[in-house]
Amino acid sequence: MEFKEYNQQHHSENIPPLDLIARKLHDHVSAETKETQTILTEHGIRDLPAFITFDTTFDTPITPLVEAPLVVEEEVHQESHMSTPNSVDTTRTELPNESTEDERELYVFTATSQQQLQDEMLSYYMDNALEATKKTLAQKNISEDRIPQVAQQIITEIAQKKINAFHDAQIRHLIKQNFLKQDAEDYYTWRINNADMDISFSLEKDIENNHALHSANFINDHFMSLFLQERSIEENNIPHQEMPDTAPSIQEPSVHTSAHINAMFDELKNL
Amino acid sequence: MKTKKTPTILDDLNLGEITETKKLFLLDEINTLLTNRIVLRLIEHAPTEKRQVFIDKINANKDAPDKILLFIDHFVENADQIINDEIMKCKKDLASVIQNTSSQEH
Repeated sequence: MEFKEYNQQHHSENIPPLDLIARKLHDHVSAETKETQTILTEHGIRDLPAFITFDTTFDTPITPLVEAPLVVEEEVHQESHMSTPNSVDTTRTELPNESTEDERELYVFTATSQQQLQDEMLSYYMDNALEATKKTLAQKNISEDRIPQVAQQIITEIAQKKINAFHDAQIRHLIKQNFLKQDAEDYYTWRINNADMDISFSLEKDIENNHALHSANFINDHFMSLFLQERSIEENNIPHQEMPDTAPSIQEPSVHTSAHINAMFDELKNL
Repeated sequence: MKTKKTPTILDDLNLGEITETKKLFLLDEINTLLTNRIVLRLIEHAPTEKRQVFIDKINANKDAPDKILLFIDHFVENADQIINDEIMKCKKDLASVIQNTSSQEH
C-alpha cells in the first residue's frame, strides 16, 4: 500500500468507536507530553527517549543486594578508564573487581557502545553480587560452599533483569529513532505497517533466542571463575584453577523478584 | 513472520483490539509520557545538591538510556518506589481518560 493510499484511509470519516477512543487518548497523551517536555526543557533535558515503560516495575531497589557506591562526577578521570572490552568474551578473566568503588562507578559510565555497556553492566553486577551474596549467606548462617549454587541464580536473575530493561529500552529507542523523527503520525504508521515492522521484531527475537542466554551463561562462567579464584587464594594459597568448560547453563533465563530470591535462601537454610 | 504477542498497557486499558500499527504508535507515545512524568518526579525528589549532576547524567546518557536506570538509585532515594507509584498513577490517569471518552460517546 502506498503512503498516499494509506493516508486517505487513515483520514476516513468512518472511524470505529475503539479507534475514536484511541485517538482521544492519543490527543490527551500528546498534549500532556508536550507539557511535560516543556518542563523538562526548562530543566535542560531535551529529546529524552522513552526508557521506562509500564513493564519497568521494580519490586525492590534495582541493586537489591548491595549498597550503591556514590556517583563520582569528575569527568577528567573517566579518560583513564576508556580501555574497556569490546565484546562479551566467555574466556575473559579481567574483571573490575580490583578497582576501587569510584573507579568501578566510572567504569560503568565510560562505556560508549551498546556491547560495552552490556559487558560492563554484567561485570559490575556480578562483582557486587558476589560480595553481597557472601554477606547475605553469612547473615543467614549458610555455608559459603553454597555460594556457587545460590549466587549463580541470584546473579543471573539480577543481570537478566538489567538485560531485559536494557533491551527493552534499546528496542524502543531504535523504533523511536527510526520513525518518530519523521514527525508525522501518518508517515510513521505507514512506515511500520509496510516496511520496517520486521526490523524491531527480528531484533527482539534474536535477543530472546541468543543474546540473553549467552549473557546469562557468561556471567555464570565468570562468577564461578571468580569464586574459585578467590577461594583458592584465601584458603589454600593454591594457584587458581580454570573454570571447567561445562559451566552450568541456563535454559530459560527469567526475571524473578527479590521475594523469589529470599524464598531460595529460605529453602537453602532448611536443607 | 510470526511475532510474540504480549499483553501491554493498551490491553489493560481495553484497547487491545486496535490495529498493531496504532498500538505501536500509541505505546510509544504513552511510554514517552510515562518517562517524562517519571523523570520529572525523580528530578523533584533528587536532593538539591545532586540535582544538576543528575540532570547532566541523564543528558549524557540519552543515546543509551538504560544506563540511566543504573544510576537513578544513586541520586534519588526510593527511586524504585517513585517509579512504581508513577507507573500506577499514569495507568489510572489513562484509564480515566478512556472512561470519560467512552461515557461521552454513549
